[in-house]
Amino acid sequence: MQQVATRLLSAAYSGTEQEFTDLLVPLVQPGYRLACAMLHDAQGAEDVVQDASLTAWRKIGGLQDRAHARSWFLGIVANECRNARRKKWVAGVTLGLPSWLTVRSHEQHIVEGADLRRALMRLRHRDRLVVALFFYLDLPIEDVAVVVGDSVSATRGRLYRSIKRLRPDVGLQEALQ
Amino acid sequence: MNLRSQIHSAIDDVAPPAPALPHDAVDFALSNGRLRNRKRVRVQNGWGFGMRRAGSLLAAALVIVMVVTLVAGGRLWRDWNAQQQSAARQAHIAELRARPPYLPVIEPGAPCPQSPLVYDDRGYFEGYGTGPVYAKGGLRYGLNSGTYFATSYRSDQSVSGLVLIRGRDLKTNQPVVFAKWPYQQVSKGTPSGNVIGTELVLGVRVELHPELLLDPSLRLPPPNDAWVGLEGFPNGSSGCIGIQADGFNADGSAFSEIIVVNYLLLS
Repeated sequence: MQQVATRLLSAAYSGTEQEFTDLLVPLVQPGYRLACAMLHDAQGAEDVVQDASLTAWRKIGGLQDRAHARSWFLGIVANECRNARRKKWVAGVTLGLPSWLTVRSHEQHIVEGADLRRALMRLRHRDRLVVALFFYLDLPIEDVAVVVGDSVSATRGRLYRSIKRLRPDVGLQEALQ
Repeated sequence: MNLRSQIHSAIDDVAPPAPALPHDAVDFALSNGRLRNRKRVRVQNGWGFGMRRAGSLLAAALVIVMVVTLVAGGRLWRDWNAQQQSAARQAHIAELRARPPYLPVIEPGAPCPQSPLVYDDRGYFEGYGTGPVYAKGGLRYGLNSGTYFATSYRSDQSVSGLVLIRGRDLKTNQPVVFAKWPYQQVSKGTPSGNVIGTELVLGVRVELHPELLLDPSLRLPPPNDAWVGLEGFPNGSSGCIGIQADGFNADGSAFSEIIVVNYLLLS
């Protein structure tokens, strides 16, 4: 252990580590946002991003093209989210909203948010990932496909199906706006 | 409100800002998973039995009485002792400050006479310098006011007491500024002198000072015993930086060392 610590200290902040830092820092906040969207747990999201950063550090040699760093790192975050979700059991409860409410109070905003989050949580991991990347990280569908590891057409189909599950009463075009 | 806005709003409610996370994530990764930054909230269970609660309250009351007694009895002695220590420390710092800076001036275009990169006397800290103090630049931040490095300092075992660090650009004569390293669990250098500005480093505002003190009393056990401070070079800096380290050896003799680094070569 002492040897490892000594080696780490003497090699501290070498060029490779600086390059990794420069690469990782701008990716952390998107990764954190994705983890929050997947887990709905800020502390869990921070842990996931730190775990993903460690995985990225260990696998940095496998990244051939720095232009794909964002998709590569978001893919690692998504995998870590899947692992984190496997570790805990989550109950799904639908609160429901009275349709006649037209003026949104602060309480209603909270209820609506909770309702939507629960609906998101009921989606399967990969469906939720597509929704989070497309709607929350505002990635184009082509980039979403790269992170998910599917074709663009398959990803688009997955997105449409997820929208129908989330908002069955809303038209597809309206939801995609 | 469309679906995109609804999702943004719903997720934003559970995604508070995490300004320190980029740095924490880098630390965690580069430490191979040893330095996780956790901010868990501990949930305390209530007491189950009234007797246990009463006994605990009594014990707590006794402890409070003892603490109050000790505090009242020891306060005078501690205050007097602290005053003596503080006065000695200030005198020590003033003595170090009184040593005149003798950093050389390098003509623009002339090569930067960088100090050798060597190991300290324990053989595991590699830094620039001829001893007994060594410096090495680490993580680099390009900020509004200039370029900042997390700089590590190490001293040989022959050094005793505080070491005063001052610096300037040897070609442009711009001063080097110092700030406390805000994140990592390492020995921290202590910025000293008047506050001459502030800067935002990854979401944390730090004060800028003209000096840095290396304080042995703030040194953690190895391998985290190198002092770390933020060292800032203003915009327009040539990158040829001179650092003057002043201190005393254990035998009472004074030392003053010039360390020259070229931070463009470190990147």
